[in-house]
Amino acid sequence: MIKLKTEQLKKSFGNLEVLKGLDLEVKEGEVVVIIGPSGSGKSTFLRCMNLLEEVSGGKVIVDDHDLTDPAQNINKVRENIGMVFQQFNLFPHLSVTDNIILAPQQLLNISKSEGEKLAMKLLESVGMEDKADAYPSSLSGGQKQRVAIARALAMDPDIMLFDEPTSALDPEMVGEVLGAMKKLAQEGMTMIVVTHEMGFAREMADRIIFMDEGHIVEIGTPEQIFNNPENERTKDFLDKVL
Amino acid sequence: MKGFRKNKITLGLLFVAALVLNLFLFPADVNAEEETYIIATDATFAPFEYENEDGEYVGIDIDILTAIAEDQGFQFDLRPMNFSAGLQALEANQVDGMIAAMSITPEREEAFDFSEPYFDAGPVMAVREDNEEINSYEDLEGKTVAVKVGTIGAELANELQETYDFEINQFEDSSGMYEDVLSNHSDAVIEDYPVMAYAIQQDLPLRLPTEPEEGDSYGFAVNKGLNPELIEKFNAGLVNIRENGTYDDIIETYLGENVQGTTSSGFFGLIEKNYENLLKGLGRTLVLTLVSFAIALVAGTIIGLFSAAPSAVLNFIANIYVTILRGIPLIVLAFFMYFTVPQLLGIQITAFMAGIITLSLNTTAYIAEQVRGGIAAVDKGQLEAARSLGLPYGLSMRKVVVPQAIKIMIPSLINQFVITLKDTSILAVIGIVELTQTGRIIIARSYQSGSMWIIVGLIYLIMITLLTKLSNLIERRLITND
Repeated sequence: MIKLKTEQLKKSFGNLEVLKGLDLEVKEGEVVVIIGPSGSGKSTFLRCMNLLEEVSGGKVIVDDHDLTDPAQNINKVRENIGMVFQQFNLFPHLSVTDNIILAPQQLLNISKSEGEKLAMKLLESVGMEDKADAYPSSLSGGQKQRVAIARALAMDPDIMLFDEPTSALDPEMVGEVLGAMKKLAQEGMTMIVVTHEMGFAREMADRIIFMDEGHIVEIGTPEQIFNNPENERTKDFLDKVL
Repeated sequence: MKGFRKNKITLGLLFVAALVLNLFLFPADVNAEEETYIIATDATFAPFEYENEDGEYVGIDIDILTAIAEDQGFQFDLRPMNFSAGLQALEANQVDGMIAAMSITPEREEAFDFSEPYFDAGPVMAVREDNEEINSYEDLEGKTVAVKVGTIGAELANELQETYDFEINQFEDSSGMYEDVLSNHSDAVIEDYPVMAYAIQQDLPLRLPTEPEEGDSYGFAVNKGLNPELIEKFNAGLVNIRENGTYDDIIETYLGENVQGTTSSGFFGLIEKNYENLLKGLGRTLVLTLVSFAIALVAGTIIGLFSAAPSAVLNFIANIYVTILRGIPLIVLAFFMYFTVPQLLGIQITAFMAGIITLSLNTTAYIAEQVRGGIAAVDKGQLEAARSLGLPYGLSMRKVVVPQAIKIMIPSLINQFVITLKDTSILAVIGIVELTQTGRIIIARSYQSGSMWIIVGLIYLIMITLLTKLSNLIERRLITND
C-alpha cells in the first residue's frame, strides 16, 4: 500500500529551480534513505513532503490526501507525519515532557496526567526517561535529538521524516540517535531519511535514492546502489564518501 | 481562540479603567440647576492665575470670574493650560470660554468675541537687577529678548526687532522667560506690567529700566458666535462687582501696597510645602504611564504579530500604522488628539483621555516594532517544528514563538517603559498637570526654579530606578526558568 507519493514535484527559489520534477512512491513500513551531494535538493525534497516548503508544481499525496490542494487541511495531515530536524528544534522554554505533550494537549485535548504517561512511554522508547523534567539547554546533542524523536512520535504518526538527524552531532553521539531510529524502523514505521550515514543506509534502508542537481538519479536496494551503481554520478559520489 | 478573547477583554477593561480613572482625577462639578461652563486659563501667570500652596487656582482673573459667576448664578470648570494651548482649545470648542489676562486685539477679535475690558495693562521690559547695560529699547541691539508665545509682549518685541536688531527667545510660560533672563540666556524679558510688577514684588531679582507701554485691555473671550449669553453674563456681572466694591478688593489683594513677598523657603522647605502637590503630580504621571503602557502592550503585540504574519495585507496594515505613528512627534500627536480630532468628530474629550490615547498610540508603534524584532530573533526552526507537529499557525505562535520572543524583548520593553514614563511630561502642553507641570506651577508661585527642577529630576530618577530594579527582578525570574 502506498503511504506517500510525489508526482512531478517541482520547487523553485526565485529563478533557481532546485527540484526538477520528482516522482516517488513510498510503501507502508518502508524505510527510504535519500543520499546525494550537498545542494542536490535532498532536504528541500523532504521538506516538501509535509509542505514545510511550498511546492512550485506537481503533487504530494499522503494517504490519498493531496497536500497541494488548497482545500486540504494541512494541519490535519501533518499530525500524521512526524519530522526530525538537523538542529533538533526543541522548544527551549518547555521541559522535555512539555515539549512532547504540547501537540497532543493542544490538538487532542488529553489531560495532564495522560500526557505525562504518554511522554514517559515515548521517552522510555528512546532511553530518555531520566530527563523527563529537564530543560533542553541541559541536554547533550544526542539527548536532544532523541527527545526530538520522541516529540515527533507524540501525535502517533504513520510516517516519519528525518532531515540529516545526525549531522549536527559530535561523532560519539551519532550511535545513540541511529539506535533509536533503527528501533523505530524495526517496529515497522514508514521512514524517509536524508542522511550522510552510509552505514545506516546500507543496514536499514529498503531502498536508497540518489539525488543530484534536483533530479532523482538512481533508485535501488542498498545492494544495487552500493555494489552495482548504474549511473556514473552515483559512482562518483560513493567513491568520495565511502 | 480562547486567548484571543481574553486579550479583547483585557483591552476593554483597560479602557474602562482609563475612563474611571479619568472621572476620578477630573471630577466634573455637576450642578443640575446652574449652567456649568468649561473655562480655559493660563496655568502659570501670577498674579492673574496660579495655583496656591493648597493646590487651588487663584489670582485676579480667577477671583473676578468666581465673583461674576456667583453674581450671575453659573458654575465653571477651570482648565489651566499653556496660554497658546488655551487659545487652541477655545478655537477647537474644547472649552466654552477663556480668561487668561488676554489683551483684546483686532486679530483676536476676528476669531473670538470679547467681553468689556476688565483690566488695563501694557507690556513692560525687565532685565536682571544687576544689569546696568540696558536702559532703553535701543540698548537691546544685538541682545536676546525672552517673550511668551502669542502674547502682546511678543508682538511688541517683534515690532521693536525691526528697529533694533535683537534675537527673540520664545517661551510657553512666564516662569520660563524669567528663568531665561535670570540664568543670563536672555538679556531682557517683555511681559505685561502687572505680572512683572507682581513678580518683582515677590523678590524676583529683576528691574524695570523703562516705563510700561500704553495700555492694552484684558477681556474674557468666547469662540466667535458661540455662547453669547456667557459674554452677556460676564459683562453684567462685571458691572455689579465694580459697583459693590468686590472688584477693587480683588485688585487690592494682589497688587495692593501691603502684599507680602513670599519668603524663599530653601530646598527642604520647598519639598515640605509642596509634597502633596508633587505626589499628586507623580500619581498622574504614574497613572498615565501604566494605563498607556498596558494598552500599548496589548495593541503593540497585536500589531507586531500582524507584521510577522505570513499575510501581505496584515503586514501592510502594521507597516502603515508604525510608519505614521512613529513619524509624528508626540507633542504634535497630543495637540492633534486634543484639538483636531474633537473638531473633526464634533466630540469633547478631556485632556487626560487625550493624553492616554496619545501616549498609547505612540507607545504601541514602538512596542509593535519590538515585538516584530523579537519574533524575528526566534529561530525559524521553532515555528517549523511546531507546524510539523500539526499545530496551526496561531497556536504555534502563541505557544512556541511568542513566549521565546517575549524573553528576548524584555530588556527593550523595560527601556520603552522608562521612555514612556518620561514622555508623559510632554502631555503638560494640553494642560495635564503631571509631575513636570506640577513643578512649573510651583515655580510660578515660588520663583524657585533652581531647587524645584532638582527636586522634580530626583523624583523621576528615584521612580525610574525603582521601577527598573523591579523589572530586572522579574526578568531574572523569567530567565532562570530556562
